[in-house]
Amino acid sequence: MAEFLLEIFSEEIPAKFQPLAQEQLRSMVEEKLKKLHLDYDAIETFSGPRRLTAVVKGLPLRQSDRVEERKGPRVEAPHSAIEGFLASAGISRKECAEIEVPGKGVFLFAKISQKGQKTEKFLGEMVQEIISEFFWPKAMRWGTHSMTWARPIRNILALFDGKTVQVPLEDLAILSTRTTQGHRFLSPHTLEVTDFSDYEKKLKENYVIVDALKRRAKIKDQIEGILKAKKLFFKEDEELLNEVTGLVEWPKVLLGKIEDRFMVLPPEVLMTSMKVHQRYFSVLDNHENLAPFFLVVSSMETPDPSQIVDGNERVLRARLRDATFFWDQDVKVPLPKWSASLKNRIFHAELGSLYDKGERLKGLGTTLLLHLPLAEAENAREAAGLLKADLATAMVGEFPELQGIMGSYYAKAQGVKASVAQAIRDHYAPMGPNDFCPTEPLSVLMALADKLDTLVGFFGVGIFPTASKDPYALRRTALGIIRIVLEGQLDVKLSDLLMAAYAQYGFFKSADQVKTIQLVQEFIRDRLKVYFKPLFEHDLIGAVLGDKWDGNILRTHEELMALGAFLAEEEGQNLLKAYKRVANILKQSADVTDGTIDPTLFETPEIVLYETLKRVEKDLVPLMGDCEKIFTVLGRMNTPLSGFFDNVLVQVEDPSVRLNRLTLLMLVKKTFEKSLSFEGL
Amino acid sequence: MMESSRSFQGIILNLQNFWAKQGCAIVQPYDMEIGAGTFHPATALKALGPKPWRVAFVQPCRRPKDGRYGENPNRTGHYYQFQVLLKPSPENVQQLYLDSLEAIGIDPLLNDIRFVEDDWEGPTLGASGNGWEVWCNGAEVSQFTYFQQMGGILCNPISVELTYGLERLALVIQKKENFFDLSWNGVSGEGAITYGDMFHQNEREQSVYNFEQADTGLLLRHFQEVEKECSRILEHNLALPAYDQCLKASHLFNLLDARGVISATERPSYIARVRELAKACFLKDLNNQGVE
Repeated sequence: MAEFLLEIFSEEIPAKFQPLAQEQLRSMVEEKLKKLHLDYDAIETFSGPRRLTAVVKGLPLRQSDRVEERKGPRVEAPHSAIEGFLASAGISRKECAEIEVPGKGVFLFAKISQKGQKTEKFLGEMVQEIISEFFWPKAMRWGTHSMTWARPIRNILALFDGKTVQVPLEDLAILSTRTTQGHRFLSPHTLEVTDFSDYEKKLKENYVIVDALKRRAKIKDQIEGILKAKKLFFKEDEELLNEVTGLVEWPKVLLGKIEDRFMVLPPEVLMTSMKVHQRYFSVLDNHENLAPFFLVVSSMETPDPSQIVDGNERVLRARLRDATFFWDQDVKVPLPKWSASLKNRIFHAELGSLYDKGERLKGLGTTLLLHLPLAEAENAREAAGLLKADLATAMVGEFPELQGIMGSYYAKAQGVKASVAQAIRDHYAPMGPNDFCPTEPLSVLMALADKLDTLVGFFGVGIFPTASKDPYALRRTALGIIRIVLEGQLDVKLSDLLMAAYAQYGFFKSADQVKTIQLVQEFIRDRLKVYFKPLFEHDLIGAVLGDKWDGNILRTHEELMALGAFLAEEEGQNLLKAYKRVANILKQSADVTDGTIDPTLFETPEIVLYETLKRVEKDLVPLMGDCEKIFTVLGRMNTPLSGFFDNVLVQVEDPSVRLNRLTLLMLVKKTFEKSLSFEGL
Repeated sequence: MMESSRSFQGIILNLQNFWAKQGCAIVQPYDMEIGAGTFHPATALKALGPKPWRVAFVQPCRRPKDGRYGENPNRTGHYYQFQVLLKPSPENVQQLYLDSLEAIGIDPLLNDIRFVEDDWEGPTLGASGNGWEVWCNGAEVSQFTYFQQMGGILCNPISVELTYGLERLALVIQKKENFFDLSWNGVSGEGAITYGDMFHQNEREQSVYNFEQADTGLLLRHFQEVEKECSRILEHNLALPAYDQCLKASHLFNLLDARGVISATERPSYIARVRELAKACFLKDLNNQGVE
């Protein structure tokens, strides 16, 4: 058993490519070894800014011998076909077995024994294939080379059983070697290695941590070490932690200070500026407030890191001075003026400017109040007119991710009502399944209005998401509507909301209204199916979201929960069975009833069923929408129904008795379906 | 007193010396308004075609939209780039670049230098490349790009472009925080000349012009005229004069953009118009050189 070690050494690979590349290298090695009939004990891969590494442990020195059974033509096939097969298999007719394949005939089979070959023979070509087949989200060429990689490859280390593997690359300038390089600055030496443990050890001695997980852990440890003494905490940020792990080979965390004069800026501004521009971690005090420090993950170890810290502090000061300048400029201008300046900021070419959107939202926000009394009309109008104002400000121009947030700060600084400021901040939410969902009533109203306007607008001009493309994030918008309705417990029909949104688009034709709204509603219904998928049984979802769906998302959800709970019990299952039996009998019958019952034709079990049905119908009337109670009432039908099935025959000779019984069953079925979505189950 | 090698002009002289030793032709800035050193014919046109090429030069750049009336410490509508183009890209180009930093006084053992992904795109040139911004203690001091395409044409061989942001580099080297405070000539006291002495007034006046005073009707007309002229000259197989017209179109577009008269919807079509001119010039130039 032997070990294979591969390191593809390159210039700095984008941090965001590294985790997937590591995984891809693993699966490629695995797949190729399998194809080569080479077993192994374990494959491990590693990634970092300058190297992608794979180690395969427990590889045999040669493939094991094996016998391959190859199927040939039929025994009675033409001579030429048989000759061809024999030639390709390299055996004589006598050496062929004749085996009957059931139903197909007798075929020739060749047993070819394959002598296992030396493993080292295959590895060079395997590396060459990996390099040429590797997928990078964005690859490049360099110099005069024809190969591509994420960044220029500068060396290949390939060792099997301690010996160099020759990689047959067309570009002879890149040779496979038994060496690698230490840290670019701290140890720029060529290191000769014998195997993986030697490789990992030598690199560590030369300031390179090969394993991203270890680098990541080291970063966290250092951060915690620095902050513990100061009783401070760092703002956990997985995305940032992963990125910096991919930016350094030898992490060294340093603590810098933010000058007090900048601490008056909104914390989001400081945090965004530090993260987006500088990849710094923010630091919090024990009240979760931003503390006047930052953490930079450098890739250098120097006896005196003050020069590095000073440099970073200087850069941050310049950045924050910019931010202060933006704040001072922006806050001077009243938000309505910023809104007015959105007249030449396009929302979408066919849907007008962002200013136009704000105007529509004023109308929509107040119209929605008819269905959802969430706020005062005056507040709704004010908020709607200011929602997008900050998009014109310099700060949001610099940091688009602060949209809404800056608007709310500027609003507060300009004395706008707190609820309006909050609505400005919240109205983009939720931006996806895990984002927070607004809870303040005015925020809920505005978040809903903004999304309805977007969805109806795009559908109105014929822009729909396709399977692969959704450039305006309309799926996310629809999901946002679903979450706002459900989490805000909004008892409302979609069609009412969509009609209100449609009416705001003055240039939409009223003739197209029905069609557009139907399309949007169907789109939301599809998203709702996706939303419910992990929560409920597939056929339950299909049943409540069938053709008769009325567009009330909240009620639909309640029905699903009740239906799920009811069907989980025996009584529910019995009722469902009874319903299906009724539906089947009706389906198989050719008789046509006019719906009138003649009670004089009933036998006792029918009378019991009929009487129960009448009482149930009456009791159901006040229960519209209260699923749990509906089930309890419907449950009363169980006993009379089984009494009926046990004792009464529907398909009797006498046509009037038969018709009367079918009519009774039809009434039962109707009652079931009227109260809940039984048809789809 | 500041060592003269750390002055703004000292940095330029050292970079020129360094790259001259690497076999670069040290050429002079292009004598037209351009937004980046990449537009210099010694870069843009030379990145295409098979002939090896090594060149370095300082280029004053104009980006009207970045003007801040001289009030922002590190954003200006006019600034300097030091530009190096090496074709084909050498195997040790990263090391060469780091050596050049040492040559201007940045010791990589005392600083934290990193290569952070930043792929470059020049939409008006139809150009793109892969590379990094180079950070020194968190400050972006250079752009490092392997050109893949120019004018929509695939480059072969691949050249590498190193663009030093001279003002930012000088901030790091001189430990300053404001462009205008940078020492230009390394002299202190009476004979001191700062970056601000050289450019502060210019920033103020140019910003007023770019944002408030530029005659948009005139600029729009000029744009159409140079666009036409570029196409006309190309019919006479004159790639280089045509490229000059393309550069004019690009700068006029930048002025119009700064003036805020180009709407978000029109913007892409203006960019596309300049790109079409650039592509036609690149193709014609390759043709004139007899490259298929």
